[in-house]
Amino acid sequence: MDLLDKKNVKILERADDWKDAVRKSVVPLEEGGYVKAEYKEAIISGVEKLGPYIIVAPSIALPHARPEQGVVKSQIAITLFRKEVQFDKKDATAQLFVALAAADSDSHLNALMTISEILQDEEKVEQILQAENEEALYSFFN
Amino acid sequence: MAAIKKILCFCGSGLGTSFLMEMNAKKALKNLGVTDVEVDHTTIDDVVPGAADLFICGADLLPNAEKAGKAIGLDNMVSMDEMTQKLKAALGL
Repeated sequence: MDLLDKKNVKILERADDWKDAVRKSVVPLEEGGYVKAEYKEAIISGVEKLGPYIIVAPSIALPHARPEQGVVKSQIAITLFRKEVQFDKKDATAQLFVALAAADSDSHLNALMTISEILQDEEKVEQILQAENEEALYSFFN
Repeated sequence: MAAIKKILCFCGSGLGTSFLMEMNAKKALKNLGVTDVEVDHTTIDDVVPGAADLFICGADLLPNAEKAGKAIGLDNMVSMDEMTQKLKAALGL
């Protein structure tokens, strides 16, 4: 898939809380120079202000903020947490974090469209959440 | 009921989820045979009365949308089923 590098697909055991999960999911983007350090904090303050709107479907979060909040170049990183991450709201949990860095309003749209199509298939989402390893996880999106 | 001619999908940033919703709303309208409705996406800052005839957002942001007018809140923003059902109800189809 466009904008998704194999090395930016990770499987982690757990996160301390949702903020830790957001930060961890953004690490590959930061390390790759796609976003500045402030980007993850912008996502967190957005969620603190508006609630967990980054949860786009059951078990799936799409952490993202605005281009001017620290994006250098458009890119996507995918992190699967084996243990569910709880947000500050009842029933708001996620396991798959698709961190999105959008440098402008359209360079990421193709990738987002592909992701949306994949995630519309509930059976496939089940399989993705059970992915055995990072290789298998990556193959769902490629 | 006033006719719905303009739908605005929005999220906190106006880049990610709002775009997913716009795509699905367009697809759902096409499946429903509705052709004369404009769909766009934006950030929560542009959600003001009169900006659209119908607002679509995640369930968490619904209270913000309802202040601006008629609105739909989605529990699953990638679900075509939910989008289709809720649009159908909102459009009175």
